[in-house]
Amino acid sequence: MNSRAMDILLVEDNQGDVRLTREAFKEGHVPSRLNVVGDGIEAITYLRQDAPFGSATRPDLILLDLNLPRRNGREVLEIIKNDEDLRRIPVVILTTSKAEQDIINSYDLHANCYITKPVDLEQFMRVVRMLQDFWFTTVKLPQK
Amino acid sequence: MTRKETARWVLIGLPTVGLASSMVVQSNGRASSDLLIALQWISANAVLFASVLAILSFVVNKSRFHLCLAIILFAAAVFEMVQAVNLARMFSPWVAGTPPGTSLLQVLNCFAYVGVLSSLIGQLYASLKHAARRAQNLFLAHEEVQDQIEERKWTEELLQESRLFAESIVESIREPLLVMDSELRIIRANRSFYTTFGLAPEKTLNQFLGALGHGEWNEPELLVQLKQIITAEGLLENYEVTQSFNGVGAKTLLLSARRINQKDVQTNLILLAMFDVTEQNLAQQELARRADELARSNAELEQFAYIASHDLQEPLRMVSSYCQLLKRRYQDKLDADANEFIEFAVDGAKRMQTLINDLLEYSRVGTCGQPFQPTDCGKVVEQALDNLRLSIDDCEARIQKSRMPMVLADEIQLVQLFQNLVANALKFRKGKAPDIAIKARRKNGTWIFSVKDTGIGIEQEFLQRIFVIFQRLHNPRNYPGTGIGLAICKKIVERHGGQIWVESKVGKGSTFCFTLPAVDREDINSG
Repeated sequence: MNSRAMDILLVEDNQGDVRLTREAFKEGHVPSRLNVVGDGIEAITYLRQDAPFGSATRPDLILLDLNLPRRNGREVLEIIKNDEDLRRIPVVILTTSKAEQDIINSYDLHANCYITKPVDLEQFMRVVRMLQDFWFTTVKLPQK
Repeated sequence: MTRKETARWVLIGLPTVGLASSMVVQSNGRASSDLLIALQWISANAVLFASVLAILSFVVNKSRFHLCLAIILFAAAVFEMVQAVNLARMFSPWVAGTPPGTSLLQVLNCFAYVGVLSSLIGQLYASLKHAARRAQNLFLAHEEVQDQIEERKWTEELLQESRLFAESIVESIREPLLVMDSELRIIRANRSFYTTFGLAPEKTLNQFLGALGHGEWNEPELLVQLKQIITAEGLLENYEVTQSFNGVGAKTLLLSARRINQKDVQTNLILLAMFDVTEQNLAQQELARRADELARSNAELEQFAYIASHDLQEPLRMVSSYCQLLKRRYQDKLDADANEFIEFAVDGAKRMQTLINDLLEYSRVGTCGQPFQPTDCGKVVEQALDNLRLSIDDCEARIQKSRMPMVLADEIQLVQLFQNLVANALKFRKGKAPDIAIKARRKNGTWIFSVKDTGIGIEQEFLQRIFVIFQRLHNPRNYPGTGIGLAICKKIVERHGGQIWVESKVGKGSTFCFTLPAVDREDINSG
């Protein structure tokens, strides 16, 4: 297990979802810092550490919603995976969509995994816990 | 001298000799015997007969020679007659004995005339034969001409008949027709042309096509193409013209023209046929417009259902999640009532979630269907039963299936269709171990599939309603479900061009039937 706290970037416009995810991470047993941006353009600015995110830390994992204002999740995913520097950061698509087309598109754009947000709170909590366990304890991530 | 000329001279010579020798006998004035008189009579008769024949020959042959011959012979005949009468008077009563010199001349005289007579008979016979042959030939030739005339008459009648036949067709044909010469002048038009375009024959015939009516036909491209039919071996087919005709209105015509080759006449003609497709085009446009509208409204509806269900998920998730979070964090601090209220809120949100998911699935039948492929229904049923294996084993259902055909279908949807029907048969069973029969039979151009159960059955009045979306007949506590299954079945069957219905008796069981179009082996192979 990594000793340091993991940095997570959550790209999500719904404040309700943001709060739920925060609560779920809080209940988890892996120390993590959750940074949140509300739309696609902010996400790219944050990752490139452009103003006003000059002091932002590079995340270990990105949780990306597909339906976002300004630039949607697909565009953000495409930009990340076409960027020599950013493409190494694992991107987890976390969305309400179950549509086959969304799933196919996401993997075609090299998403690292695709998760449909469960409606049931218990299941949602479990999914977040599993995400933490998998990406921060099981998986070997590249050095920053 | 030819043989014929020699014969002629001989013929002239002989009676001359006869005449001369008779004259000598006469001038001698010697007495003759009865033989002499007899010879004289023979000579006289022969020469008379010969002269008659010579006249006849003259009549038949119209030759000057025979005229001369006839005159000489006639003279000889008169002379011989006179001599015979003289001789008879001289020797009456009959005296025996004949001066020898005279009698020899008399014999010569007689032979000469008999010779001329026989020769003339021969000639006349030949002439008559010749004349007869000529007459016969003339007759035959006449008959031949008569036959030719008859034949010609007959041919003309036939021609006239076929012309009338063709004209009656042209007249009665519903499509307007024009016949034009190489300069595109109208030679003929049928009744339909006059009535369709409201033109009078006197303003049509002998007019240039481009000058007809108010110049509606004056379309350079068309005129050029029509002229090309005459010069090049052209053919105009389905040339579409849309034009507003004075007093008639806008018309869309399909024009077809071809050359009429004429054998006897130097110039060829053009037959121009017009098919009025105005109404047909309008109907087609209307149909296309409605189809577009329908497709658009369908697509909008599908899109609406899809987006609505997606966008509805989000707030619903919030309601249900935060209710649960509330319960999770504050359960200890709330009383029993508050906890029950939270339960209801969560349950409502969950049910709403299920409904939305069903709605989404229902809309996907139309939007996410796969193209139809040759599909083995046997495999499809196997797959559906495999998916239901747990439930089947659970209630110890006995399932019987008949041979299944190949059809053109979306295999995934067909599996879902059978799965839903069999799942219903399992769900609405009567006690344990239900009997389910899955069958297929061919009727004309369709396959009728049936899923028969021995379950609780459906009341008559609900038979139609059960295929309506979210229609439920039972309390969810006894038979859980949203009422989407059969609606999806109906949509799948209809997407495949079939029909679905149910036959049922309460307490006895139900038989769900649906049809799919049958395809032949060749279609399957090529499809």
